[in-house]
Amino acid sequence: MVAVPVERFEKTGEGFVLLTTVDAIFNWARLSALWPMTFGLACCAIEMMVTVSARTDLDRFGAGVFRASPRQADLMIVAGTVTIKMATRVKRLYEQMPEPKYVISMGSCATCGGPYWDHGYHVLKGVNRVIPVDVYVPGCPPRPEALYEGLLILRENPARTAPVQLQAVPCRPDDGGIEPMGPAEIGHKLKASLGDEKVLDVRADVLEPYIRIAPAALREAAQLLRHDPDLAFDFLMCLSGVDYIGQNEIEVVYHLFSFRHRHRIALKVRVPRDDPRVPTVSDIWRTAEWHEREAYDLLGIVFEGHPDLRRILLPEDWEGFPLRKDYEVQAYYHDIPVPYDIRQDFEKGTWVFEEEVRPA
Amino acid sequence: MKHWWYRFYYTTRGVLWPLWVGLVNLFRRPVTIQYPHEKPRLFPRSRMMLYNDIDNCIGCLQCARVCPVDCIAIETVKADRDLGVTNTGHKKKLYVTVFDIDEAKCCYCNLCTEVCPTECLVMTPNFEGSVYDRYHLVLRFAKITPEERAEILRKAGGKTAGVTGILARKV
Repeated sequence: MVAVPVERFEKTGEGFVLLTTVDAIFNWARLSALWPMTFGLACCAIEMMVTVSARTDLDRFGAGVFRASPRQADLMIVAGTVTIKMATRVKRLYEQMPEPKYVISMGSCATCGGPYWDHGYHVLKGVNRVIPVDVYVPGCPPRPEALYEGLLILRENPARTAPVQLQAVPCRPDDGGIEPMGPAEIGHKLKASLGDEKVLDVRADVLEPYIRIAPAALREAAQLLRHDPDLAFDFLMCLSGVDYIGQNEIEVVYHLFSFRHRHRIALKVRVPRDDPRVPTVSDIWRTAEWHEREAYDLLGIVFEGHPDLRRILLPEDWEGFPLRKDYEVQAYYHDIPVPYDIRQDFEKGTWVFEEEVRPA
Repeated sequence: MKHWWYRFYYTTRGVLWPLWVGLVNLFRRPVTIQYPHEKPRLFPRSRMMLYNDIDNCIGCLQCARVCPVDCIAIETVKADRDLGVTNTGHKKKLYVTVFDIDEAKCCYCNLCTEVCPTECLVMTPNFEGSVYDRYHLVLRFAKITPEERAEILRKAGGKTAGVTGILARKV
């Protein structure tokens, strides 16, 4: 649905004279009371909220009534990054809006994928792949006035003025007298408790000192690190996975920190790439629950004993694990094309040249 | 009885105070900027849409290399005649046959203008660029027409000095 101005109706000769006039009145009424849907996806939504506030009062043009239901709205401002997971929801919301309905694509991400257009497997490369877009507003994010201009463009308001002329140390609290343990000491303590064969490697001379553990001994080591009064690693800062495709192995890294003793260590576990199975630590550090879901989502590492191991970022029926080195993005997800279409750029963008002059 | 007075006080204050606020704001200057008719006052270094002064561009490709979203497409051909110098005194050795910026992808990070040696690529305070078709957001700055470009490339034997951005991609 495109906002058709009155003159264009007359030129196309649609309808009779009376109906054309009625259409004009209807058009005027519709465009003077565009009710947007309450709906924001990312940082652009913050600017959208500012647009409604007192400084740039969107209500001056009758578009300030943000409706909570798509059934009462006739303008969809797609403000922010549309992930593939969100795209199906956006499409459904659009379908729930009554005709006539208009769509403003606000900001880079909604327009073409923005910063994610090249390498983002998870971002919809332009919201026009799922719903028809009437106006594109550039910006990252656009100013409130830029969104305003998009609305005026949608209304084809002649009051729009000409463009502006060109002008040219981490803070560490006091230790309180408690000495933090060095990585070599922590490794030594682990070896004394678990045995030498379970602690595979202790490296203290690197930037991020780490201890490599046999996968079978991970839970034992984690319990010790968490509950031993001298170690007391009460904070799992990060859990991440690394794909070593050359060695056919996948590594899980646990970054640990102790608030009591103010020391830190990284714990590493390596498992075969074909069947990566690591025991869960989500009952030892509660943070690990969604971290492990993320590692499962992006690298396909199965955490045995996890209470709720589902995909967290990508849709549940997504194919493959995107952070694996040999990952190839799927062409379609529920009839939505996923990769960026460079051929369309060449065809519709400026990059249309005769074949013979294009350099080989 | 004491509670009664407490309630009396807070209720009266709760009724009168909003009325007072409303009364004060009734006579205050409105904060709304009547946007299409008056522009907002932007800060001096506002980063909005990019602009390239192509007369001062030497085609060094640094902006395209630093661009994190790869939205600048440049094609340069070695010049067969003297093109003069830029305002900053750099000698122009290359024809800039294509200089396209995809504003739809640009994320206004200002990296390209910082590396520009001739200060020809600037961020303007122009934020108004809404369009009906997303490919209208591709800004073309090269002054060389497609016919001239074909002629230049034919003379150079199809050999370009540098190609970046979407032009360097395989279709």
